[in-house]
Amino acid sequence: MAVEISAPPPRSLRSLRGIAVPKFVSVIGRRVLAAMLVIWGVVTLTFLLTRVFGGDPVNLFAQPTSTAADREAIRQRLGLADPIPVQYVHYLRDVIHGNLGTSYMTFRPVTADLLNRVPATAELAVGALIFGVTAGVAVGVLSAVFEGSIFDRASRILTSAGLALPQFWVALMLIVIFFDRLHVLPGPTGRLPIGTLPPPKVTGFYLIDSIVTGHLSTFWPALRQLILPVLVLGYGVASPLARGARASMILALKADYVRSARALGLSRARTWFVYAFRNAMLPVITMFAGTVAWTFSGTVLIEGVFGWPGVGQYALSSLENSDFPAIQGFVLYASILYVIVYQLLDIAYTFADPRIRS
Amino acid sequence: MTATEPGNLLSVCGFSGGFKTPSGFKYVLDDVSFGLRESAMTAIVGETGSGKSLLALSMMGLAASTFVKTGGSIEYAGADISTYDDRAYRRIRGHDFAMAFQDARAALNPVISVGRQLIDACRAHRRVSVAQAQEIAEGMLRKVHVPEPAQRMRQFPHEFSGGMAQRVMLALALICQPKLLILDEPTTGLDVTIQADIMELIVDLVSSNGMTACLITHDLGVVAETCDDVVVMYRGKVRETGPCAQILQQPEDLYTQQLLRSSRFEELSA
Amino acid sequence: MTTSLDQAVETIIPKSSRLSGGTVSVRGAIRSLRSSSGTLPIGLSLLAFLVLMSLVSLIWTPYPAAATGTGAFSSAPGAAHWFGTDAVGSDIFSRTISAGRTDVFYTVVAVAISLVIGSSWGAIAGFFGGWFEAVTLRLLEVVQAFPALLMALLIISVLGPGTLNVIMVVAIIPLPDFVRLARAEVLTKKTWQFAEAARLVGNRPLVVLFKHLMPNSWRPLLAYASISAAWVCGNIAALGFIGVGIQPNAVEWGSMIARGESDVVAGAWWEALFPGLGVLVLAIGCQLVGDGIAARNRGEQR
Repeated sequence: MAVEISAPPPRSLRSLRGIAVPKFVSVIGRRVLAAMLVIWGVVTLTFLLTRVFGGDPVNLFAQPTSTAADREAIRQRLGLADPIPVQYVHYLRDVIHGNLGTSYMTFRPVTADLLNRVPATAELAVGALIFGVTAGVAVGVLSAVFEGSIFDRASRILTSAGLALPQFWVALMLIVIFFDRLHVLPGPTGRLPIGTLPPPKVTGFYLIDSIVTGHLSTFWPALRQLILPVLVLGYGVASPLARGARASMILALKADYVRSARALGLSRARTWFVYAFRNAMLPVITMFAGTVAWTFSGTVLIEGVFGWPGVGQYALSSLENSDFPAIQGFVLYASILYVIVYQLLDIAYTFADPRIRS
Repeated sequence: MTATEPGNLLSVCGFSGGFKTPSGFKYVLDDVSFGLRESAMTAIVGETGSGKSLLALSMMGLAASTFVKTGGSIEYAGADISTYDDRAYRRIRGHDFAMAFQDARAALNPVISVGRQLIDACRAHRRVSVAQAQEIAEGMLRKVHVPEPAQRMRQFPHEFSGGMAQRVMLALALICQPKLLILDEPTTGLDVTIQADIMELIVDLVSSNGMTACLITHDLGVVAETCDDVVVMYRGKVRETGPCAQILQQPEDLYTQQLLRSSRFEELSA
Repeated sequence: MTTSLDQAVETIIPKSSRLSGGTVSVRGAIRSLRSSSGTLPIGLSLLAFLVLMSLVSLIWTPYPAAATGTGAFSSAPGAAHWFGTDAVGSDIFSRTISAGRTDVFYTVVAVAISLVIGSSWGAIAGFFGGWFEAVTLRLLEVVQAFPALLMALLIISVLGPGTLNVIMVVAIIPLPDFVRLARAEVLTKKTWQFAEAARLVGNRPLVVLFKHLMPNSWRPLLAYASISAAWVCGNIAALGFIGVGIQPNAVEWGSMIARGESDVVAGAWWEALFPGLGVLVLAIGCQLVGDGIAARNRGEQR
């Protein structure tokens, strides 16, 4: 998945309608504008898809005996009676106010439902990203440094497999091995074993909350429940990163500046892990955006298999039930989050590469 | 020819090697023998493909991993360094030998500040603190005539012009006061006026420290002005060696004569 | 002892990149295939195996793939049922090899659609530039702002399950990458001499684009098509697993895994292992083929 870097920032002071504005404000301003544009595009696309192409949700609420008048009333109540452009404007207005509609299934505001479930997914996703990024980059870099070794060949097979293996299948197979056969890890019962109560909510992250509120007894069970899903999701994150890091590091190791480092007699550690590594990581940073996007998709599948009560599972159930506001809300949430992450990564890249800064 | 003659800092004796290719083994260096006289500047001249760059890299132990030595030796300080592994070479590189490469901006790490690179090179071989190394680095930049060294230390290679970058690379190479400085086409690609400046700087630095220098080039004009000895190479073989004046004015070898003729050197020096 | 040093230097100094001619000979392709080592033959063998398996399933399966109650429910692999049975008694072996037809066929069709439409679009955008290219780039940004699977889920939820919808949705995911790739290829080659020559001779722009420029770009596009096929088949299985695939209970690997999910957790590993292996073999085969083609492309242009 290709990701383009935005244009370099302007050199001098920019004037906004004749008023001189410091450079970094206009830079941030441009980024925010670009991000908003993309989000607007996503919102519009989502709206078009659901309202224009989607089935008629009236059928979900109407009964076989409903008359045309009844159906019309339902339509009015759902806000579907107005012409499409009017609906669009209402939708935009609602979204700006943070109102993502009311779920057809739970009859609660979609925003509230989503926010409730975010900590569960976040705990999983953050764990997987930490594990995946660290493992992926480490394996990739070491594979490049020891190119051709057994470690390199083994890691290449593992990462190729990681790209080809269906995640949900790996999850199921690991459950069979570690839960069913070896009994070393708990089953897919969600965030805690059945019968265990969660710690009082501070952040929503069970690992953090259990420590912060002193309910240490829930820390270990919560951690054990996290192991398999984080492993599976992290494996999927690590594989493309490892391959990218390896390719990038191999190129960096062949570069002139590494030859200079060697010519100067710098230690191997410094040559590899500072001089080559810092250059090799630049393309890998651009891969992070795709990694995060991929993690979104991954959580949908993984949460399904492990019974994890997160945003992914919410998406699944809303799909099954044709709960359009919920689906729209979820897609919107995911896109907004992704756009923010992408912008942050872009900013991080400009800090990492001094050539772009000037 | 000058196998282990005293007065040589380094001697190359019958050095041969090549690359493994899908269609067999190809020799690139064949029975190369010459010596680098102490405190003298020796030029290695030849056309593209004569193997002179590869020779320089072999002296530093930096030849590509696909390069295979098939015979001969490189004598330094009483040992054959061509048999050294990377770890042994690391002690020599930077400390005893140093190399300045052709494309200075590509040879400098683009994401690390110039100052940092100088400090790292310095501390790789000398037990000094970071602050001390910083002072030494600034001093080196001043020595190579880089204006405003303190500010320049914080900048990155892409912010330097070609000539400035070459000076930085010289500073980098000399920061640990090596005994031998190898320069691989240091002025190719620079503007003519800058070329002259850089060569002047090099001669100045080398002579003021009593360093041994090895200049790889195809520019005979520069050789005539700056070098003491000349080694002429053609397609991996040494054609002729000797003092500069002798080689350039009374070459014995046919290829050398050809080289001088085609570079219109005789016309210019007449 | 010394061999010709000219040739020696020739092999060390990199060759300039060669342009392939306009026509592509099949015989030449096969000849070069046979001489190549590494991943390409392995990948092709894996794919050939799957195709063969699928063809066999057309004429014979131990039990009808869609039939239920052919044996005990959720029984382990044994003599009567080589891969065991699932919760409703269907024979897993029969279903697995029959599902190969579906998954392989859909993957190929989806990738082909994506390749053709995406490359044409990207080529036109790159060649003509202007507002069309600008709009294309913005659209790509918006579409690629969606995480891939989520976008697929959204579209499918709206359109409903079904063969055509699945193929279309799964083809949309790699489409932006083909557009970008084709555009990049055209942008680099637009200014080369043979393109100028073709234009000067009097060919209309579209003819220059599709008869002269594109045939020289098929290699990287083909390599990417293979690699994206690996993801495409994974997405097809994922959609089937979630339940928005072709139809519930379809004879498709993802759906099979979904059907067996609860049993697998209880220990009936065979209900998910074999369909998963199917997806794995298909994905690895495509990946190896793609890597092999990419490696050969690099080798030629070194």
